[in-house]
Amino acid sequence: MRADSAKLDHGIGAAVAGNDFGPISRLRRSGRVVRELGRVLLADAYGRVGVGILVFFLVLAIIAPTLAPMDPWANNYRANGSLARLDGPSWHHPLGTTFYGQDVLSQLLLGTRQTMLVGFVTAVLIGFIGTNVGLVAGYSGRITDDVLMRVTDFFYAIPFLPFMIVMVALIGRSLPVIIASMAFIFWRTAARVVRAQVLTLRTRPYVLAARASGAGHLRIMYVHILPNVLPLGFLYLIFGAAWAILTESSLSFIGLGDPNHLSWGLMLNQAFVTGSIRYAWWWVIPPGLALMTFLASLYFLGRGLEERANPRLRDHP
Amino acid sequence: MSRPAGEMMRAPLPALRVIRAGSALARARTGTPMRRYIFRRLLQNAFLLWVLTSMMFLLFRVLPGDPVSIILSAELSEESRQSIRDAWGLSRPLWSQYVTYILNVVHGEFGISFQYQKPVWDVLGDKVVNTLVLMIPSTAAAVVLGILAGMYFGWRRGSRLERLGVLLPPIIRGLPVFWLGILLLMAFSYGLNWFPNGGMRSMGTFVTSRWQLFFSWDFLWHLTLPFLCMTITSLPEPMLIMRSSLLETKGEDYLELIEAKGVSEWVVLKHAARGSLLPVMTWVFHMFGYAMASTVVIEIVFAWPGLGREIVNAVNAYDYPVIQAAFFLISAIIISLNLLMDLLYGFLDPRVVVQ
Amino acid sequence: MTLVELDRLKVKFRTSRRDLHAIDNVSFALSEGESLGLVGESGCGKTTVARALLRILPGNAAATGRILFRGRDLLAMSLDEIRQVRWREIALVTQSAMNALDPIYRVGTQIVEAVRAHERCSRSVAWERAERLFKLVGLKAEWVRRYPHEFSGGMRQRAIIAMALALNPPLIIADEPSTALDVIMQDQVFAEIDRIRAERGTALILITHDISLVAENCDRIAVMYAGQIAEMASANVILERPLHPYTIGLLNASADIAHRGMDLISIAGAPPDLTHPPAGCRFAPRCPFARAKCNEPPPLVEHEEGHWVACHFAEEAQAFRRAGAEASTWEAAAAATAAA
Repeated sequence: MRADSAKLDHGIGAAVAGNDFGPISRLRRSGRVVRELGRVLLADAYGRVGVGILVFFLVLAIIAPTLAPMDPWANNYRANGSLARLDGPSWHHPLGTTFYGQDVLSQLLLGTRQTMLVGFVTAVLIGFIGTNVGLVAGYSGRITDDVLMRVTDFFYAIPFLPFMIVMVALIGRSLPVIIASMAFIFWRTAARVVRAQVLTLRTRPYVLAARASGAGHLRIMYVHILPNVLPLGFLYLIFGAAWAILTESSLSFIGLGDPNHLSWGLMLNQAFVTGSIRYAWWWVIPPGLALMTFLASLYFLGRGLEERANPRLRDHP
Repeated sequence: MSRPAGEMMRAPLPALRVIRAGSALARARTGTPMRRYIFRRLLQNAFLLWVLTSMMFLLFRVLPGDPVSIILSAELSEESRQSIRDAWGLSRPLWSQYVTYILNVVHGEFGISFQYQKPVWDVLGDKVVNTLVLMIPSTAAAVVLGILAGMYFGWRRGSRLERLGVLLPPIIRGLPVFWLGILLLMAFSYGLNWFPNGGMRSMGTFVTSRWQLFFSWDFLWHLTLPFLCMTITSLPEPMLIMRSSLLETKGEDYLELIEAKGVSEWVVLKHAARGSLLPVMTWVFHMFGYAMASTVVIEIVFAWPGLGREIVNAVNAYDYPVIQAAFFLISAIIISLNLLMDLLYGFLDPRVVVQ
Repeated sequence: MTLVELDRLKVKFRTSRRDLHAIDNVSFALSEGESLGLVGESGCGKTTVARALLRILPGNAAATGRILFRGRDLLAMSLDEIRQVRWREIALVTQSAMNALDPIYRVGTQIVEAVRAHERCSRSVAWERAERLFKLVGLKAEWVRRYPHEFSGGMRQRAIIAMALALNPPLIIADEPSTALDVIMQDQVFAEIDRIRAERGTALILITHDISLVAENCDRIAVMYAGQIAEMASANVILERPLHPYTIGLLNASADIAHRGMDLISIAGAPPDLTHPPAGCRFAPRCPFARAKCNEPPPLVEHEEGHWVACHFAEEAQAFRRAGAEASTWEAAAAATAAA
């Protein structure tokens, strides 16, 4: 497995670092990175399944507005004029209607967009903050490292869901608040893991060679070490997305999410709060199934990558 | 929120209780490196809790603006509002309020709940135990079962069962706790009517003491579905960690010598498992934060009267004292539990203490 | 009295790509109380022999042939039977530098574990025995309660030896027991081993890459190369009259403190890849004296009494010995290999 991780280091890392500089070569480099990443992800069955499901959801998210039969927020009425409350699946409403007469399928499709948005934005934030903190801490050593790690320890002590509940209580139920609070907490795992790897990379020959040739610290960190840490950073980007989506839907489920943000968690909240879970299986199963499938695909993807990257610290948000 | 004169001291917080118990246990054991380790850990965690509480103080003071306006109607004159602020100590300088706040917290004095008009501790006191009684058994079960499953799947590779054991964890990790809870309710409560659909005990049951309640069949009947829900969703992580750790340990040299001694396979596995525990335990040390998140959600699904449910109610009612206190209690519980696990592991694996 | 006899032992490892033929047709016999040194480069199969004897080969290994221990075939035994044999009849001493002892348990506990796996005795009796064993190898009795990381390298090695003696086995296999130790420690460890052997009549198989070590400490020497036995004889004979070019090379590559200023030769090249074992003599590519006939595999024959060799040209050994003492012979062979 160690040989594989070296391969991973060299593959993506080499693709990112490259030997050339300048704008065109930078473009070519990003192309190489994408191809290298794709190769790694698709290498094993888990990766393939994960990518497949994600692509499916991505397509769904993009074409959702055209695919959705009706406005997800609209209250629909039956032929006889009454509110189409809790109707089972039918031709008109393939997944039935909610307590408020809204079309479940349309809500489900719109929810895809919202889910991917939350996941992606939070993941990028987590990846960015976590990788940078881990990089600086691992490379700098001594005082800086100690301080940064104490800070990370502090963030580990914060219980994330209660914290988000408090944030929502104090600031308000809006999506930016939720995304910010999640990013505020979840970067801690990425930082720890990246730092651990940077500690091992710091003593590698090419780093010492760069130091000897007079390269500055920033350059060594971002040009030499960062490319080799990217696979790990990417792995925690995937996990970050998963944690974010799960947490945001949990928050929506307990009624503290953004009410204008139609997430699958909100759908389940409404089903639960209206007491409809007793019989409205068409309302309960699809959003949960969608969540489970999406998250499982992320974990499959992560597994495929994890086997290769093999981080020493098996951690959790 | 100043302390009325002459009032009785509140019951010590669960955190303090746990820490006291832990240090008593620690003192019973010998060894100076162990004592130093325990002391260091206690100090670190107390510090963390203090920083957390201070952060909370700042957030609650800074963010909602004027807390008084929430409970008072806008028609009151500025004078009356000011006098109420004075009475609550809100016009004193920030640092003075902070000191009072910390002292109050240490004594378990959390103020008065806005919605119930009762001391916050009266509102939350019971809930703490209710949450613990749900969280701890299911987390313990998940860890134990997860470790055992991880041991099995790590030791015996290539069997058909193992392929299943590798396929399921990512799927279960993606299974939202609340959705599983709802599904369990739909199937076993509303559907088959085997279990109640929520709450901690049935209507009309009278118990003389809390302990009697917790050991009654009725209670266990109510506990079953939430317990199952939490245990199932918490299983994958320890299992995966144990499995990969065991796979790594399998290649260690000392295992070869142990096998050469002619011991049974079970003994070799025991050695390998003990040596693989460290990564699992590292995770276990921090899992209570995650377990609490699951617990909060499960309390909502199953209407379980615990801290999680209470904090959500408080948010909906803008009951800031309760929100603040509940958050503090939750943090204290998690930090104490993490600390306890940390110390316990020091007994299991002496290498940790020497570090 | 023959204690252990290997009869055409072959071990191959099944990997995802090809099979690795680690040991090919190894046969030798060891008498009670005798000591045999198994010498060779890394990867020549000597550790595999040790593992095969104790049947602690990894799961993907397949062994054929027979290993007769006091008449019983170890390879044919069931798992339960072989567990009885382990430690009680054959004990293993490994390198202490590696993780030989479980770091989580006290050293005494690990000895006690070995004892109680085979004998019914109480924990206190077993611990007493552990203390006695420690004293036997020159360690303080109270150190049985310490953890492995608290021992120094030499002390750990002694502790491992003490553990091996726990059940007084008739055979001890020592796999590179002194490789990680300095020469003085090495000396002490072997003095210890000799003393114990003299007292108890224990047989010893010493596995090492250092030919000078086996020359000092063993009655007989078997030189292994690429999974086969190249030469086998009593220690004196091997030192004075080596027949196989590889043995000659090994001897000339070891420094002799008595002969200062002597040329040290080195055998260029590397052992063959055992996933594709060569058809003829396996040493031929590196041998300075190789000829056309070496493309046929040389059988292991008893050249003189008690002296076995696998070389077509054992007759010319005297000439080989003289040429082998010169560094130029080996340099020429190196050049020839490079050119090929």
